[in-house]
Amino acid sequence: MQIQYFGEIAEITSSTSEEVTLKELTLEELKSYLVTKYKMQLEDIRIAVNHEVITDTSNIDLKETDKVAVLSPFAGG
Amino acid sequence: MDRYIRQIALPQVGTDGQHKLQNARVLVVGAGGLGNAVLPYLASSGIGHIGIIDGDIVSLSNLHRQVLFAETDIGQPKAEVAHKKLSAQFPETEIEAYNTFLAEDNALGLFAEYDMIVDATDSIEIRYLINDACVLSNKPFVHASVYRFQFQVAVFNVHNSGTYRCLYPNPPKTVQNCAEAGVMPTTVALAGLFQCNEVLKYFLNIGELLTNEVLLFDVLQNQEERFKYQPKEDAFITEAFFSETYQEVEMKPFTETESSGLFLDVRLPSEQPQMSMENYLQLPLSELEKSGLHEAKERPIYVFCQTGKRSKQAYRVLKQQKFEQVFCLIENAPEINKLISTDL
Repeated sequence: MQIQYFGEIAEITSSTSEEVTLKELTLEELKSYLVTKYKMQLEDIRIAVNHEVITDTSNIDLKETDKVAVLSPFAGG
Repeated sequence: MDRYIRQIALPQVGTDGQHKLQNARVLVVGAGGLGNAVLPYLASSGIGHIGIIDGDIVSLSNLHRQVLFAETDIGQPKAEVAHKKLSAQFPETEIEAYNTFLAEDNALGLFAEYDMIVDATDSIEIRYLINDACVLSNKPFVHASVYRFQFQVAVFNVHNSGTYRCLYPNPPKTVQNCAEAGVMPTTVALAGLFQCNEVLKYFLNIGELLTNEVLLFDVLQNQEERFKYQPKEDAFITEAFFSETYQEVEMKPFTETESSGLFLDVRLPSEQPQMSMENYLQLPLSELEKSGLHEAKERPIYVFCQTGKRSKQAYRVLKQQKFEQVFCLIENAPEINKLISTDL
């Protein structure tokens, strides 16, 4: 699935998007991918699936065709 | 009215719309990059009353993006210089300058005098302060923030729409501001103009406001993305929550503590290093929040944790419990441990 990164998150991942293959296709697996590979702090980021920010903490199923985005607050102004 | 004839000609504006703008009162928090883009267009479109709050002074590195300021303004208060420039150009607009920073003690009073707030700051803490003060005073606010070549814009708290905390519940641990990250003047100006455009739409009641969604724009790719989020219950943002969250924490270095005071460690017992010192008490933050501290109220209490985050939270809990002398230690467990061991 495609993951887009914005702001400082894209600096951490060194890319604005990447194609990732997940085995179980769940939100938990995606989170653990972000934590393991990029050491992201989950409480500092928001994950959007198909342009909807996920606020529910429960695990959800994802689809290979889902568009995922990782957002975080910007400070500048 | 002749001044606005070109926009009155729009069926979405008209004379009625122009009157709405004329009666509108907008407070712009921050006269930096965003403020310098928002302010001239708020005034030029005929917003009748504009407040500018900023306690900062103009410096040379501001000039490339803060175009209301000239080199001769360096060292002058931003709010006052902006006031002067805008008043000269738009004499019909009533402008008020507040040469101070927005803070816990002035936010609610100030917001009460305006219909809408523009978040044009470069500080994450102040964004949360603006959000919470807007929720308490029931004012809508337009947010923008910039990271290098990208910006976010959103409108919060319009007739119970979502707030900044629905999008980003808690302040993140580390984020960079413009000074650290770098920014082009055009990026921040575009963000400010999007903000100003939302302000005008709000008062004219036209188009779709960016409520319950955030717009993310990348100026390098000219790519726009919009993300929806769910509005959440904001009843927890009360006046008590507000004063606890934003009251200033009193800090003290370990070397200035009285040995008769109580050294309160709010970490979990499993955390390293373990402390060996006199007048020491370990009470994890969660227990303190649940059961409080049962100690003499007059004795100085020095709070610390591992990094200084939990100790600030504990400070607020203790203040709420009416402890008189509470201080957060500048040093935390690892540093204090070193200081004690070098003493021995």
